[in-house]
Amino acid sequence: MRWRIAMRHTGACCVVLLSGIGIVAAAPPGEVTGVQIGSSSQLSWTAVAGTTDYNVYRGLVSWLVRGDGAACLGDEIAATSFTSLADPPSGEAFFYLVTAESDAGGEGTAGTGTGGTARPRRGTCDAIMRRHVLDRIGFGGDEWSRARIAALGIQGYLDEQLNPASIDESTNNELINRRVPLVPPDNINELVGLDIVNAVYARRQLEQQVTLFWDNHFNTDHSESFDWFNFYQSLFPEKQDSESAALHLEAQNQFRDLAFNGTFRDIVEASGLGRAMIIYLDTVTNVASAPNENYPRELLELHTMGVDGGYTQQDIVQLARVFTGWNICKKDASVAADPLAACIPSNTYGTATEPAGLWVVNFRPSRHDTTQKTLFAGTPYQAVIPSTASNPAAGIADAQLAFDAIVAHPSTPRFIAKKLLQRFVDEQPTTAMIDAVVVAWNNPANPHGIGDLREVLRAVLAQGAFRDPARAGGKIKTPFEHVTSALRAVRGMTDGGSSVRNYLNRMSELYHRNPVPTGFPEIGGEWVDTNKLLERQNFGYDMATRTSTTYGADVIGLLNANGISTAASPNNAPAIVDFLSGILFGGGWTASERQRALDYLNTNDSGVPASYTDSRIRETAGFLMGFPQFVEQ
Amino acid sequence: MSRHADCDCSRRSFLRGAGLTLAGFGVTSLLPGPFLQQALAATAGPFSNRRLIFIFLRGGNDGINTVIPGGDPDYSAVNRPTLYIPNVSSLDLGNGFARLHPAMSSLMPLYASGDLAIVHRVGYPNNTMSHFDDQRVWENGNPAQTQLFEGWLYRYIAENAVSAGVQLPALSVQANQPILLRGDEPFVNIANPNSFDYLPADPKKTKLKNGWGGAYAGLTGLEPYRPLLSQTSVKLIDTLDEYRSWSQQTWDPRDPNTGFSLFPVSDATNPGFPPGMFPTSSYGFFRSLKICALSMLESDAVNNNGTRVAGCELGNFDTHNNQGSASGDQASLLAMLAYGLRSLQIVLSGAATDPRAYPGVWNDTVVCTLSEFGRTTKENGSVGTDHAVASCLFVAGGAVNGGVYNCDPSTWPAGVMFAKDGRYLSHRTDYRAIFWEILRDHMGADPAKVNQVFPGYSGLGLTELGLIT
Repeated sequence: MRWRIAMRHTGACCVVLLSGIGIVAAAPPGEVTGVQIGSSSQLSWTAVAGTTDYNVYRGLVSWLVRGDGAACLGDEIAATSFTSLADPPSGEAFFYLVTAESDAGGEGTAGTGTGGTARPRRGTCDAIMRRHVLDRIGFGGDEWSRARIAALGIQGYLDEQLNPASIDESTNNELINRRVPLVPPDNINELVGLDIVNAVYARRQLEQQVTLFWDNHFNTDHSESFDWFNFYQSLFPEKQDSESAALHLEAQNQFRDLAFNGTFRDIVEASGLGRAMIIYLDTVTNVASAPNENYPRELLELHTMGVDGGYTQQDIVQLARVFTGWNICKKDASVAADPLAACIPSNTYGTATEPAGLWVVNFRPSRHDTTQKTLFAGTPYQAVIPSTASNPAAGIADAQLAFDAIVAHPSTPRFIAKKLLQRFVDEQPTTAMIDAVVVAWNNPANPHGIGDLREVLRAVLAQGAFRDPARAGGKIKTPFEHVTSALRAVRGMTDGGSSVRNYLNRMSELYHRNPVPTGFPEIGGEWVDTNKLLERQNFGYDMATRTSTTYGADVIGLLNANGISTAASPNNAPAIVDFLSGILFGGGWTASERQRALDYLNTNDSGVPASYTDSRIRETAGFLMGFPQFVEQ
Repeated sequence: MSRHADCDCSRRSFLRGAGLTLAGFGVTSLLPGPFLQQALAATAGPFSNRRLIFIFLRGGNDGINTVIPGGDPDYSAVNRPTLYIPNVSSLDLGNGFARLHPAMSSLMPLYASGDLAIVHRVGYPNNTMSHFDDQRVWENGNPAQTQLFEGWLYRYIAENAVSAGVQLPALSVQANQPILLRGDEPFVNIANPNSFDYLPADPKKTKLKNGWGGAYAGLTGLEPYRPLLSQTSVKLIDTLDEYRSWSQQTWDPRDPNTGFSLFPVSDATNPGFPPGMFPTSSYGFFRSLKICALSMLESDAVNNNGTRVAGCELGNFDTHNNQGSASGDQASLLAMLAYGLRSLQIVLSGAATDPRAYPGVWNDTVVCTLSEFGRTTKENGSVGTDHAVASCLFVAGGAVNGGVYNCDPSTWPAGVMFAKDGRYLSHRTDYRAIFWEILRDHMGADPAKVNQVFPGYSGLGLTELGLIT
């Protein structure tokens, strides 16, 4: 493999850092010959000496006329054949290229076409696949992660990311320093800022992705929490901000922990009996005399079984009664952990003499419906929650029994598996993929037992489809992923403040501020419209052309550290654009797209050829961030 | 990219099946060529002069407190202890039965002019009462396919053609493009009307525009979203110059009698500020509505600009708690909606005080509201209401047959407020009957294509109300 190891701008290291082009121990294997398509659409070729594996590329014949290259179709193929060739579109034909590679020598040539020019490719399989993995499981590549995935290989990198505790952040000074002003968040904007800083700077990329996945899946809206603390508005407005934001930080921290150290049963309870959700979906006003169906409906429809999961309106009615009696109140610290302990009187809330204590979850037996409830009546999953009329305080266990029954329903693992697959692998996961993830869910040998969230995630990322180059670029980055990946790619600098947050606001993706219980969608088409394309393009241009440490990038430093001169003379433009396309989208572009980038760099604002300056180099980086390749993931 | 989230069908195979070619994934419009020329010859077709504005009330508007069935004894303080609005507080709609929420007093002149149809008991069979699903069904026109992300309004436009050179045939002004206007060819969505342009000034703006425009227009590749990305870019760039020319930020039409701004988008334009007739949270809605109106007025045959369909949304109707009665959360929203509908009538009639002096288009315009479901007849324990079935909607325009529909003794029999599942007001008119009527009789949709716009419509035997003259 060809390596390109870069200097990280903090100077601290745990990986050997050398600038310049990597070390090649041997020559790569030669050109592959004898490529042919046989029966049952099988591509085969003649073995090449000294090869570890082969890569297959594919393109439409109509592209060749324009000089557009083939894209990676098969990565690290062990055999000398490749099957499952798809049909081309009507009126078109495919062409295929095969290369041989060795661990010691890297990837060999794809040969030359007619006229003696090298056969064009849109990026190499290695670069495309690494970029695919970095984009999907995290927020794109930065210097640390690009070096890390090169050092460990894709599987090694995935395994490490699945064990966040093993990834040392203690030397990650950018992350540490930038988190300081944001923890604890004084208001919800600071929590949004923390999300941005974590995503941009953390080495534990998968941890950040998965945390936001669960935060989004169990969507809560801070505006409801803020309203609930209205009593602080007149005397202690800063507390209205900080106490309400704390609810969402708490939920997020629980999700972060349980995603790798718990089960789905754990996480659904952490959400449902968490303070933010109790307020957001009206559990806080759900009482026996007037049950509220808001949380029960969304618990079944959005959090566990899905709208087609087989529950009925009657189940919602029963669940509404299960969750009666729960609310939030303030308690003395000594009894804060006891949901049945007495609350500090609510007429003190917000007054100058409000006693010290903690805002906690509370259960009021007197407001709880103590009758027997039945879920999934008449089905094999029927669960009876017994009456607690003789001991109302025992009704606190109703919610536990309800969560047990819902999580045990077979629709739940299927619904969650599908959503995880949509996020990481394929927006239309097949039944076989879902089945495989459900098997992992139900494995009693999981370290945390059935529904072990880490093992479920491992199974999602172990799908063959996750390593399918044909699926690279098959999803769209959400606005959050777009801005954070842009920052990560070019030594971006952000304090998590309004500069980035305003873009997210205009693209309608502010975590913790989504009013809709469904959360943000997993389907890319929802994130593409004229407005969002405009904002993505504006963001890349805006950020890349700035150099402030609170909002900007260090494009020049990044280039120079990688041995790319930014001097105007001699013309280093080709090296500059090739490096930028490599880090932004694995070099997956065509000759004409590359020429467009060169033209941008080599002309002034009026389109007249003129020597570039540092400023125009930065602009070019921003320009490339607006390319479709950077919008895709 | 498939519009059917649970379907294995690829977009490419769908298009092959429809007999269309892809022309190398380039920018060629996916709409069939020859048909377009024919449609232009029709006199009552789209992109003649007929216009449609939609406003989606997100969250499920409580129709029962909006258009109050005052003549039904089930509308009572027994069923709605805190939400009940007595007749002395509501507005008489003149049929001895139905009354209007007092916060909508702005609508009374429009109603009196005969240009406002107030339609109650609108819904569809067996709605799930899920925001997600029911909004989608109201927008995709097919209750059998809750996972279809394509609009009936999109299909109307696609089936009744658009010609090359007509920019902005449809426009939405809201945070995310509504499913109503989603389809294979992306229409324009403007989420931030005050900043809808590339960042730098010219000449750099043009350099970026040409660079990106060229990159997206010449796009090849098998990635599934490439065609959508390509067309979105083309549409974006076509739109930016046009939109800039509207100078929306300097447009402030006013009520000819009061001098109030018809679209309060800031403190300065909020009548009576401080404190102002409307909360500051209303400025986004009024700005969106203003852009919709402007897009209609800036379109005419001479410029061949072509915006004929525009829409926006108003949120926060999911009043599970603290809904309020004559005043409160729902009332505040209804007041905004009423003022907005009234403003549309004034400005689109050419009656506003406005130096730009656009000619009126009201007689060619229909404005309609939508909402995914109504709310429970009985109040809940949180001083609010929960999800239910039927709600009301408004249809306004110069060619509308005004009046109250489905809220009089013959169309609102006793017990109907609990007719569905013993809890909910049942629907009488299917939403598809209302919108098909508008499309066919006002927007010139080809009657032979009804099943392409609303699948299965011709077999449903739905009763239409006669809303369009």
